[in-house]
Amino acid sequence: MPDLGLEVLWKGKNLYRLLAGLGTACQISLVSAGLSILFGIAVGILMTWKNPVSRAVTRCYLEIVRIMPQLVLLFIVYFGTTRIFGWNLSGELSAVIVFTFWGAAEMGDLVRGALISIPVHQYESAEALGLGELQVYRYIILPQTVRRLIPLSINLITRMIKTTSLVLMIGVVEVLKVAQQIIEANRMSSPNAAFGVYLTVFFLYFLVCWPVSLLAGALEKRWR
Amino acid sequence: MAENILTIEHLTKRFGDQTVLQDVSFTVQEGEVIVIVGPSGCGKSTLLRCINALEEIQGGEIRLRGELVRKDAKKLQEIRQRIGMVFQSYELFPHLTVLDNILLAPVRVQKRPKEEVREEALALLARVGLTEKADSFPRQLSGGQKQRVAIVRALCMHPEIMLFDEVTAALDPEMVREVLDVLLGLADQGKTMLIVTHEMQFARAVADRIIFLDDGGIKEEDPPEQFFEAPKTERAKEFLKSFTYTRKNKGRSPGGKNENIT
Repeated sequence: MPDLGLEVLWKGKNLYRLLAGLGTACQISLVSAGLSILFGIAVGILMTWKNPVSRAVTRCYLEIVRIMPQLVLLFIVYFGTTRIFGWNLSGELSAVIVFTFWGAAEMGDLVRGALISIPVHQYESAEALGLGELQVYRYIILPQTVRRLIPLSINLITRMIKTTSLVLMIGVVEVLKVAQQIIEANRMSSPNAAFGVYLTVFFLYFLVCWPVSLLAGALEKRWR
Repeated sequence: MAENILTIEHLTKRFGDQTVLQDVSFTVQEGEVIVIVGPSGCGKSTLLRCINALEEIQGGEIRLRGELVRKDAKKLQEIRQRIGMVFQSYELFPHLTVLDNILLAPVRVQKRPKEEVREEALALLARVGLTEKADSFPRQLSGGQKQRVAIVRALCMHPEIMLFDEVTAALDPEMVREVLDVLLGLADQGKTMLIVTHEMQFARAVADRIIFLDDGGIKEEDPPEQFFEAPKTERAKEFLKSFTYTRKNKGRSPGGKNENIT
């Protein structure tokens, strides 16, 4: 068997550091995903309004997020806004801001899709029973929307977890950064470590994303 | 004399430039069963939707025991609770069980105690023969069963008047009867009902009065016997004719003998 350089994982606290890096990545994506869902619902409801202003604004927002690479957004927030406004943002916070900005737009579009897929008769029969506008949303529309939404949004969450690999560019020490550090430190003693360590990173991402995907599948089945 | 529950005066409804209902006026008395018939597109369904303020109206007024029914009425929600509506496509809430579908509005809107409503709901379900479906989801029911649940859902609100909008139009023929039987039962109990239907036999059996709607206006208003036996207007005669089928040369030239074909 060729030397994969896996032995570096057992040196010092390397494996522990790698897992801690994974923890950071998960933390950023979980917080961002949670906030994205919250804001995304609001954005999605705004997108279904007939008001031309809210339409134009949400449309622009969505396009900006789609066109702009996440890395550019990260740079703008971490390097750009801190300079202009003179505030202090940690890499993690910048990452959460950018990921939420991105996630809320994509989530909003998913929410919009789910909302308009609910037949107008559902609103009407709820109204005909005397439910108020808020009650219609709370008891009829949102529960159905959420059921349609969860499988779709889980796809977004796994994408978010994978995209956290970008945040090493603004100095956040997450799993990929730790991997690089380990490889760098052992370049002389284990030149093959690049393969083994990145392979490990691959499996770590897989271990996190796979159960999430399984959950999506299970929920989809249950709520069909 | 019975009290007027619903008064409609000079109702006009337009979609853009298109006038759908023009100067429609009639009243519904307590306990009365009125069936509205007419050709497709004559405005029957729109009329029912206006009565429940699902449509804005452009003229005239609708009053439920004197109270104005309008889309912008302050008490609209309270008024809608007093009007039960059943739709052609059932419109049960797919994420709730049958029982929860029925309980939602009485518990959340009318704030009645859940146990009491539950008992009533189960009793009503039993009456329409669906006791064992209480915990099923709508997708597990047939069309006729869904429609019976929809009727129970509306009934559980104790409405003063029930509106039925072509409730059997989406059903397979063998399921039509189970739904119409429920309606007949309600009529016998003295429920006030406004029914839009294409089932003429049923209309004749259930109605106290038939309203014939054509071209957005009421063309005839008769007791059912008169409407079906001796309609006054040409339009009504034509309309009723469309329900009878006759073949001109039935019985002649049985298979093989094709002397008529050259």
